[in-house]
Amino acid sequence: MIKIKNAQGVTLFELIVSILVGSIVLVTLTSTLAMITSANTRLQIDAKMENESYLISETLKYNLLTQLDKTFTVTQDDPDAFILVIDYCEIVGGETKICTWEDPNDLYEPHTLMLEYNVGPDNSAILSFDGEAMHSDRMYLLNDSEVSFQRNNVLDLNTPYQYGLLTLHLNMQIVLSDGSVLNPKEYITQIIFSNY
Amino acid sequence: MLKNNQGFSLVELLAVIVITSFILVPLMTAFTNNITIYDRLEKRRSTVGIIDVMVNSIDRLNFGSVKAELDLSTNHFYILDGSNCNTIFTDPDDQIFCTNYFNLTYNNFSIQEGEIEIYFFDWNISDAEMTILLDRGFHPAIEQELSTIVTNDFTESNSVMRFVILGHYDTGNNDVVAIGGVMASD
Repeated sequence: MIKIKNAQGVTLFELIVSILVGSIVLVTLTSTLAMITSANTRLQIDAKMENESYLISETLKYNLLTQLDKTFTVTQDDPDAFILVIDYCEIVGGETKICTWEDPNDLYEPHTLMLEYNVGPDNSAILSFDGEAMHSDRMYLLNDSEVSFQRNNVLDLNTPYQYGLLTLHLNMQIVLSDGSVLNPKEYITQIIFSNY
Repeated sequence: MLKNNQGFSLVELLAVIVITSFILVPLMTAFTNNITIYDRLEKRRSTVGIIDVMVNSIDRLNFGSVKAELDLSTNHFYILDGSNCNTIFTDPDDQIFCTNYFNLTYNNFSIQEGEIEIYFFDWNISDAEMTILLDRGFHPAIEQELSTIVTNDFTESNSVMRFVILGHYDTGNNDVVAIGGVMASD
């Protein structure tokens, strides 16, 4: 039989030192593991919120930056309701309609899109583009979010602009599968819309 | 016998701690590196977003004012970096636009003043001018853009300019995003 200790057993001093050293090793390992797990969760939450904000910005850019003959008109600008109307023309192959605001000899198809921000009765906010919500179901947009559009730091309601700076202050919160919510985080993104 | 009857010596205990450290340190380093890489990727993504917006709205900058500065330059290029908005543009509208243009925020990330520059070049450049440009020692991303310019068939154009937007998002690591294009007059 292999003997691990001698017949005398361990002394009290040896036992205490062993426990002490074991504790140091265990506490270090456990705290490191806990820290990595916690930070990893935080990173995943941040990544999800950042992706959500990124997706909103990219959707707007993809749909608007390359369109022709754009005009941007803010028709409502209140803390709980904002509406930006975007009119643009799309060149079409065949004869369809003629944009009234463009050279009548060219064939264009006029379009109107709307970017809307509204605070609902349940105090949650919705940002929608072309009638569809821009954020996923698992993301709350808090009612202190803010959307603004200005031409050189000035806004005149119902005035069509050729360019302007859209600023999104999106205060978002993740909803977990059990219905609980995590701490909100604000994302600020600015996009210049220009017809030039 | 695995151990003698003296219990663990101090050296043995220290050895355990050192071996544990050898396991923990690479783990911690890998985790820290992971966070750093994630942070750099996020900055890069936001920088691409900012420059993408700038490229798509660059035609709102006053072409005539920039072209005039480029024509005056003996170095055959002109750099607009936000600090000279009020110098080259006289129209207050152009000045405000330019200032906002160089101070965009994307997903909470802003590029510091002076860290984002637009290099303007003529549409075509003569061989002699190209030699002067390349001797200056631009960032490789700019030189790559310059390499696409045709110098043999030298035809000057007053209605188009080439540009490269260079955004430094992590100066310590010399990380940049560069996107080039053509700016046309109205």
